[in-house]
Amino acid sequence: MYESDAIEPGTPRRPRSRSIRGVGLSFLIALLASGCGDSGPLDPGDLPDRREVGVVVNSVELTLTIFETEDPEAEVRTVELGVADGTPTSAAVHGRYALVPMGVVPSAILVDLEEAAPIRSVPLPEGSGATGAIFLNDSIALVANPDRGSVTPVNVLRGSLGGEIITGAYPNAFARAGGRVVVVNAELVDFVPARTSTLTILDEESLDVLGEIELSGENAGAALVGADDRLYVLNAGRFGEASGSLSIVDVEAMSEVGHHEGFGDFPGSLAWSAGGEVYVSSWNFGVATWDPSSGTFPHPPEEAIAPAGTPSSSGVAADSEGRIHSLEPICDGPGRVFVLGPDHAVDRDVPTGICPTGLVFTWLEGD
Amino acid sequence: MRIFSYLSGLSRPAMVPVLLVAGLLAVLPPAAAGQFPGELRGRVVDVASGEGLVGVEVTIPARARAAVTTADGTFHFRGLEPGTVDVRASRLGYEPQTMELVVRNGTVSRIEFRLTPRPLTLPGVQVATARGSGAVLEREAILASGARTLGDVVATLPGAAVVRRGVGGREELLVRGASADQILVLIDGVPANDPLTGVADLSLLQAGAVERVELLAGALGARFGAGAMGGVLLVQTRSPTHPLEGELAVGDLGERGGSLVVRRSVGPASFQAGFRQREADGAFAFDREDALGGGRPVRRNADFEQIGLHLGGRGPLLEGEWSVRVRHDQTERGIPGKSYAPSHTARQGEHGLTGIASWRVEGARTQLAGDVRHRRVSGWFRDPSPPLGLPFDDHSELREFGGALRAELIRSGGGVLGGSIESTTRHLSGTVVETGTPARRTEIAGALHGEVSTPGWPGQPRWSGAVRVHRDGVLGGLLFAHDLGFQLELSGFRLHAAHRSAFSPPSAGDLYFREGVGVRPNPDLRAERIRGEVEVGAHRELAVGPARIQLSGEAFRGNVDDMIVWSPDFRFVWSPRNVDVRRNGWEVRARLWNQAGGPTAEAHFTSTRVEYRNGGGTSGAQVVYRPRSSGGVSLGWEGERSRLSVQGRYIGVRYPVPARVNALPPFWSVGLSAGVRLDIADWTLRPALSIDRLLDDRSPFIHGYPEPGRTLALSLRIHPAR
Repeated sequence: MYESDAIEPGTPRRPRSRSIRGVGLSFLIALLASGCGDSGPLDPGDLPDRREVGVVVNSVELTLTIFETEDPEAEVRTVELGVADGTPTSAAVHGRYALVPMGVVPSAILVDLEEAAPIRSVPLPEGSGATGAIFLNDSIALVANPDRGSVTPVNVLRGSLGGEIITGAYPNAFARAGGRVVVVNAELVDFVPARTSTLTILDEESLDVLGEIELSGENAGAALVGADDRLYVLNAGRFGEASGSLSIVDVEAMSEVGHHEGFGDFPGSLAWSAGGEVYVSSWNFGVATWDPSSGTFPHPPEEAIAPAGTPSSSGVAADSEGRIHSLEPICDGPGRVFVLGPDHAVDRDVPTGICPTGLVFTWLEGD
Repeated sequence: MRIFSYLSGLSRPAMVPVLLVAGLLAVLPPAAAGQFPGELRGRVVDVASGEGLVGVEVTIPARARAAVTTADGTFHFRGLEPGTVDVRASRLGYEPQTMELVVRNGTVSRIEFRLTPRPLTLPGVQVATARGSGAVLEREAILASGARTLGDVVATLPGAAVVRRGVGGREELLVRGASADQILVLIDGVPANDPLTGVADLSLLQAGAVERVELLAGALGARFGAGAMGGVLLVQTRSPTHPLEGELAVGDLGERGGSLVVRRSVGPASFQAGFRQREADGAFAFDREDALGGGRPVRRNADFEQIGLHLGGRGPLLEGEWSVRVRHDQTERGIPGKSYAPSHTARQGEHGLTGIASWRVEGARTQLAGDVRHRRVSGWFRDPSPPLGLPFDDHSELREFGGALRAELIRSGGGVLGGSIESTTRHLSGTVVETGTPARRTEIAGALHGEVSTPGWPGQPRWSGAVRVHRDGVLGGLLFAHDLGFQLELSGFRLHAAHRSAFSPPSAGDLYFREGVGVRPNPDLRAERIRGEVEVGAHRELAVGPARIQLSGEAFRGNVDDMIVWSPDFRFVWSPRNVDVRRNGWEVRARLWNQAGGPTAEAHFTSTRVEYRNGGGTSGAQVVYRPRSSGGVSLGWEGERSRLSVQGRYIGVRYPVPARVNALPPFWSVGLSAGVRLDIADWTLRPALSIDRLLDDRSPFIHGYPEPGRTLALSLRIHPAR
């Protein structure tokens, strides 16, 4: 069975009430709303021939970049998704497999990370908006349909779909906690928060809807389980209003137990560091840090970390050693992954494709 | 574009709104007007008897044009690009004769050949213009091609690749790797490029309204003005040859249409009027990709209707000649969207009124011409229930006024010196642009050009030069373009070389597109520039028995500085920005035909590298949706009363992203057309059949816009026999 201690960089969407040219928005929405990195098993593995890899979703290029976390000399591989369209912003991983929802294109692509090649494309319901996915086991994954207000079970081996499960509005990310699957709903209508964010709680086995949790923040787009087994949900807030916030949820009790503001303008993803701090990325300020034990900001958004001197990040994630990786937000050329050291200096950088927007980690066998 | 050159309309959903806006408001040109084609009428007679000679082949090698004399020995060329050309007349049993002639802007030039049946020593062939010839398609060839739209017509030209977004959708021209906004399209001398996008939508003019097209490739800014970065498409609309012409057509996808054109003479003046209509339901089933669920859904909301009305006249005035052309085009169509996100409710419409009035007078060695033109276009586009994004309902209004004065002095010995002053003013309003958009944009340009020959030199080279200075009232400052070249004959080869430049100011959409969520204009854009394009070429014509063979090839290199592309920034806000592009390539053509008619064969191939530059090198990535190679093969046969042609077009690998990944495979599409001529009483009937995608190939140029595969159309033209 798949384990749920996944590291999930996420990226919310941006609502704004000015004029919008119809269809194009959805692309932006999908990009900004990346339910990045709902990931599969991070099985550290005791076998010496297992190696951890980072998987970067390059949104504009429609590729994945695969790099090894421990071996800077190892080959960095690129996987063409083999499609001409799509706005992928996130991926779910499970061992050697990655599932990439394609955004405006209603499909998700299953990729063999060992072979660095796509295996199949799984069609999703029309108008899905496919953003955010999570593996439940070796064959079943859930993919969010934000434009339909639902999630779809996918048998990735057969390429078949299960019945849609109705959720809140604009689901775009997942997490697993307490034997339950959590669907993160941004509650956007016409790309603007219509209410505060919600979580739809599903039974892990039956996928029955167990209930809904209403959060205090708006525009949730990323979540991960903390060391305290509670779920930390990042609310992006309203674009330009610096209303990002963090909700802390007791999934078993089906309640929000904490809500912290001050996460700046449109934070997109979060990660736990080895030191137990929460790292939060934003295109608008870089990488902020928050100490859950004290509820304070060692690096508030106003004094955020600027990886490689750039006060902007399109995603953060931590590998199994708790090393923080930040994505360079370049979309008109190849970007980079910055691996930050304890002093937040860049220890290593890894070249990616164009427009890296999502990063997850998994384990591969062999050399 | 700009909008289309990068993730653009080419496929990025984020740009769909921009494209919708941009695409639907066709209007004015990015620059002041250019030149106007001339005409050549002539006669070939026997030098001894003075009687007209029938069946004489008259060719203009520099323009790749050919005609055969009628029973009274006359011939006629329309739509010649201005300049000095050699005209050659040949017939078995007579000594070929070549004469030099200056074709002038909008002027009918006349020439008479007097062929002798005995050997005659003539001066060597001189070629007038120091540049390659354009690819030309005349009225009969256009009809024979079975084309429905101007885009269909142009797609058959060597060096052209036409991007089509499905049945009834937009059609845009790519030449030598230049994007559609870098190709200046002149319809009867009036730029047809949309000032919002810089792109001319070739689907908006019906093929039946086209008399002639000529595609001139290369950076021709000095000769034609702003926007002529990758080439110029000269389109001449219909000039009826009979007092009454009618046509009816039906075809697959519910296509139907018809036209009626009349011509009358009143004293020394002649007038013409025409009406044409074309519509189609556009619905068809297509194979959806397995990745999207498979099956055969029906493509809906792909209907369209086009109505065109044109009036024209010409006659003598003040020792010169006046001419007027007015055209009204109305289009409404559905916007079916991409196959994976279809829209059943998106619609667009456009009403365009274009008029040009000109007058010219010519003396023995001088010519003076002037014109005024006006264009008014209103467009709308709406979708109350889009599959993605928010509903929209927008409109635009564009008005353009322009004028030009031109003068030419012809020197003895064939030299030419000319100049022009041109001005264009545009008014743009509507919901598609920011409220702060300047209400008026005025462009003023001045140009000089000249040609001179050096007959005493080996190969008798001919030198040409042109320079243009252009001021854009919005950008400020001056833009310059030049064109230097020479041409000569060596051992039967005609060689040419040129060095030239061109520019294209940002379009109104690039500068002032209304800001929305994640979409932002860029008022700081710089003009696109080709600072130094080098072109070399060779042309050879051979006679093998009755067969004639033309071979030609060209190579070019001309980087584009500050090309405008739309791309997201680190915040994922999409906006246009300037990038540098390396561009080079080559093209070859071959044509085989029989002087006495019968079979013909043509083939052409173009290879172009257009890569993003970074630092001192390139990324190695071809610009999005610019095929690195394209080409075509055509076989035809023409008899006295029937014709048949088969054309194959090749589109090479395209990249949907700005990297060498996820390539779309190359494809061929094959078309067939056939027709016969029937004379019944005093009328001539010309039934014709055309089949597009004969082999039922359904490969789209751009992913997400399915093609219907094989479609068939029947037409019937009728006109008086005499």
